[in-house]
Amino acid sequence: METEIIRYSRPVRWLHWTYAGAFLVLFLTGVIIFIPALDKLAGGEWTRMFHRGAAILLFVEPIAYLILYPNSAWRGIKETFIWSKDDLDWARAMPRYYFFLDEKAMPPQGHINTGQKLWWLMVLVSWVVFAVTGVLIVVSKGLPTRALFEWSIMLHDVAFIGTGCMLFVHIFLSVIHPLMRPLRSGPWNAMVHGTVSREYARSHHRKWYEEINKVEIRNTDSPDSVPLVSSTAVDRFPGLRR
Amino acid sequence: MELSRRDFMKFSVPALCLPLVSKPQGSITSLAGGPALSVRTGGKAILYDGSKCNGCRACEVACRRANRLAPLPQQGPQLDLSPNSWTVVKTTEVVVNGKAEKAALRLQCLHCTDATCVKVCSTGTLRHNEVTGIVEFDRDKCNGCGYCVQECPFHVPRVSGTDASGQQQMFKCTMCSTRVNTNRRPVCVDVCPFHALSFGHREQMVNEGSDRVKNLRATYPDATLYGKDELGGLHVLRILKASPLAYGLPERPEVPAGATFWRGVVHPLGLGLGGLAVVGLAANYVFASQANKERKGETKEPESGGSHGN
Repeated sequence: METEIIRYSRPVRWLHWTYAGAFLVLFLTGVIIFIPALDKLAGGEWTRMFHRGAAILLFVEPIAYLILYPNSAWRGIKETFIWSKDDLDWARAMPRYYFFLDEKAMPPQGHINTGQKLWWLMVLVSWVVFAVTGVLIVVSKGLPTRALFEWSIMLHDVAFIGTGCMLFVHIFLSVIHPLMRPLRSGPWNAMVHGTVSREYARSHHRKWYEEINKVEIRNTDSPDSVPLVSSTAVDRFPGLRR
Repeated sequence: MELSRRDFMKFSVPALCLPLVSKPQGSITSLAGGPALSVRTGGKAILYDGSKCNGCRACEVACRRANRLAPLPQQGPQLDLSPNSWTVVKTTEVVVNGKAEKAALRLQCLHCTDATCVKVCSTGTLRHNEVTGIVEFDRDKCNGCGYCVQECPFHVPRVSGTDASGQQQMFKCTMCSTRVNTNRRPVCVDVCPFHALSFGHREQMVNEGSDRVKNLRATYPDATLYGKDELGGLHVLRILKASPLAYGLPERPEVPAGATFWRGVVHPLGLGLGGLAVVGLAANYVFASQANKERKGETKEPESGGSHGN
């Protein structure tokens, strides 16, 4: 199956994987610190140092992207704040779609579907929460009152629990769920090589697929004369190579 | 296989409830019970008599030597506990019968039965000794996170090192745990020249302390035995000449609500939700795989632009 539809540019992919790498280290060291059964691993300096080192990376990476690609960053951030009735329709169809693969029940989705938008918003908000509370935990340690310290720990933990659970969901829905297979044409390929198959784009992000091709597909069975490359991706990043 | 909604619920609801009923493995001080009964009612205790102490600080010197703590940069009275000062004798003034009078108060870890530090410790460093009731700490495990420093109601544990380097360690009085475990007394008790310190079984110390307070009330009507019932009973009992407030001590110290909420609610919630997520996703995979198999079984011919969408 040829993967010819471009979904993510190289800078976006780089941001994703560097952020994911830092986040994974933070998550694992966080789990070690959080779960009492693992307290032997939490002792000494290393867990803390890895946690702090990865925290600095996590903080810097999106800032770097914002500086290097401000338009793309701004477009991406805006995407998380567009909500409509369509999102409710996704929510209604969600159980049948993900549990029973009832694709007919799921209305056509845009560039990112409602679930992806939710996750994206969660990542954005949690980044702010983690950064602020993380710094406060370190600096509020010597203060005479404990309120600031306690609140920082509490919010840090809440963000950890929320994003931790959603991280499992994210990984599951990217590479394990049957609808996202085979790996070489679906979301995994999108984030590693930047492209997906036409088949995948049409079935999972139909509204976006039609928009980038500017063709309304009536007969879904016949191959249409659609351009091989997503025009919007090329416009955004001239010189983009797959 | 057509899965009815009823069958789906029959499977999924119990499965998803599993993480909620599995108890997270906690420290010795569990959420509900607290330390073992033997520690709560018994164990060992230090009795400090504030009416006999005159602030000579011999106990500070003995503690420093026995624990090989660094010497102080300058002579003179200490104002507060520190990573290198595990006991400090403060002299303050208390008002008794309308007159201001010098009073000494020895600061140290009070080895609470309901110890906040044990509850919040993230590395299992702090723990109760089930036999003596002493709150011990394992130096190798401590990573200096500082939770205990912020949460202790008496502000006892102190961290050394700088935060920036990440190399920090908490220190506090150990009630000479290794000596106590071999039937000896803490060094401070042995050295006090004014017999202001006693050591023995906690019940014995409570009785002795209560008797002395009764006698003391003739001259000091507000004399009290601090530590008898506070926080489940402290293993360092202090006879005060005036009310705790006059010494700057909390009258009714409690485990901070934040600590209880964190260990008792946020923690289990986190573990529960995490488990729920994993179980839910596993269930999703099972159902989706089944549906996928059926779908693949239904379409005999290979896909030729066959639609998956609407």
